[in-house]
Amino acid sequence: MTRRALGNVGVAGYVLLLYGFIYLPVMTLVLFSFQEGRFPIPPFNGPSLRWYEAVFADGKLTAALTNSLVVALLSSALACLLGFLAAYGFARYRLPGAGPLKVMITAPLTVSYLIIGFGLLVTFNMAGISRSLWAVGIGHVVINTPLCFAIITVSLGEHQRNIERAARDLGASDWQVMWRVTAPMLLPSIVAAYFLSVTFSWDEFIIAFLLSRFDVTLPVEIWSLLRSGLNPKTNAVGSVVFLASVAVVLILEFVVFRRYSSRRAA
Amino acid sequence: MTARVEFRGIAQRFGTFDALGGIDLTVEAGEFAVLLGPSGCGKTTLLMILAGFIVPTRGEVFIGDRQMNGVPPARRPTTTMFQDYALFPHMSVRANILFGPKMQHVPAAEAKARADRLLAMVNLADAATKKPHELSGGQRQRVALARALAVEPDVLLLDEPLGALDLGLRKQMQQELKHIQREVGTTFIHVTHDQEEAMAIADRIVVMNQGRIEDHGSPDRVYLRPATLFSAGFMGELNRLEAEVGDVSAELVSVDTVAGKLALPRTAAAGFDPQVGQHTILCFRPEQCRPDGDDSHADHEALDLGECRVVESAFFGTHLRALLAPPWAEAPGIVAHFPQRDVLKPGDRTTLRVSRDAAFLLPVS
Repeated sequence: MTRRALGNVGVAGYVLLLYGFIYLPVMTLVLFSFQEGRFPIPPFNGPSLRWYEAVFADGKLTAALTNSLVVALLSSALACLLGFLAAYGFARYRLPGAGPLKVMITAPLTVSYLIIGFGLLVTFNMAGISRSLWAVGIGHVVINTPLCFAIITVSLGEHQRNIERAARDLGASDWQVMWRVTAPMLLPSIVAAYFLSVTFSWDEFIIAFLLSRFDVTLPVEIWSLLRSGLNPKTNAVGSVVFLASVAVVLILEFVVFRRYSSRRAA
Repeated sequence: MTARVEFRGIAQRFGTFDALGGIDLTVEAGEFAVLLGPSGCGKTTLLMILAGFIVPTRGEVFIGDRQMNGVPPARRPTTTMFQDYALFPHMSVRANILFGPKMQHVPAAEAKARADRLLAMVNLADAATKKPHELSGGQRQRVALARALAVEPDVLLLDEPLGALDLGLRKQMQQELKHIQREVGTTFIHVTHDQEEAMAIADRIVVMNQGRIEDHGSPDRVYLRPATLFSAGFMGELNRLEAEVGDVSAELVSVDTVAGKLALPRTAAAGFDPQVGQHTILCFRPEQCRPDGDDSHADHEALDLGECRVVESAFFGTHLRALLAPPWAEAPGIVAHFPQRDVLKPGDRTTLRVSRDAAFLLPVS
């Protein structure tokens, strides 16, 4: 019995350590964003919302936040559309060289963002496209299309093929099948791909840094803020970024996956 | 609303595999036809060719008087009910049923009237706003049927639609299918590997094996006087004895078997012309065996196969099933069904008699 109790304590300790390892840095960041004083270091003297006020009073930061939001929402929509079309094409049509093409469309998932960003920078330079938010958006479409493709592709199975057959059999054209049946049917995984893509774009730094010039995204703005030294304002803006990501993940978990799993179980 | 279906010389090759080898078959308008056979016999392939999902390697398909080769599934007067129902998961029951009429530009009022009528017919009027995942298996099956009938096809194709249901529900749905088919009068072509299901619903059974039609006809004909050994075995349990044809007269065929010389009515050899010396198989079904002491028929109306030893027996409710070792062999080889009131224990001896009118002869293939 005591051995068992000891074992339980051991397990609990291990779990505590593991989660501490993952979350302690973030918790520290969030905690010191509520610091009253000028330095995000112990001892904690708060809580205070003054640094959050400072963040939202900072025109450059709020502009960057808006930029990030716009880039994330639009680039993800495009990445999702392209990913869906590619997944549909590969799943439903016999294409020459489908195998290698499929590998090539997912391969960028394994390539570092630095390499992709650098490549885009060089290419845009040669093509005479100047660094801008548009360039960042294109970069994010490049990194997120493979992700969307991979997520949507796994949910396109044989069962869905039969459902599409049924739709065609009842008189629907190929376009009608795709927009009235396939896309709505895959909505859970399309939405999941979209939200994941949004969080990736929202957090992404290297490509945004390399490809933007005057209008920048939030991570790039935070970076330039960090260069002038630590202060609780950076903690506050970091917390905002973190909470936004958490919110998206929670939406995904509760709205999309819940519904999807209940449908699956039925 | 209904049409005749004709296959002419349909052949289908998948790579080096001959899935279908020259199928000729006509199904009359308004008939309930069942394609029956083991998995891989080509029955589903034939159905998919009729639906237009598979283009046959050779041969022609006619629906009514129209040649269908090259006509895509959507433009054929057929609809298919798939094995997994293939309902649209994101649409309500009503929207599922309305999908076909909408795609075919049926005026909204007319489409709505159809949907209401079909919902009432399949007893789902209360479930019209539910999504498919909220329904039971039997209800989903009914939705699939209503959705398929909503486009008013001439021919409805059913691809093992009852395969996923448990036994009780399956029997109930068989009855409903048959009933609805009579009501709408549409030609139904139904694929299954379950011979009991086939007999329960079919006007005509088409027995298939290895890409060919073995037999086709009414359920009783195919069961009682099957055309081939395969068909005989597939339709139900079968006892077989090798039999060499002795004399053939206008009324009688006599055969030599291990059980002695037996005289059968000429009609026992239904599908072929028996020749003296020909090797045939004498077949009879377990329920065609007569118990000892059954004197409801005179002795000359039964074939006497000698005294058998009971090896196993079990009570099946509707009958007593016995495994018998015949006098000419030590090994158990005969299955017989006796009336439920009979008592037979392993080791008992009983005289095996078979109804003379029921036994049949088939040529060795």
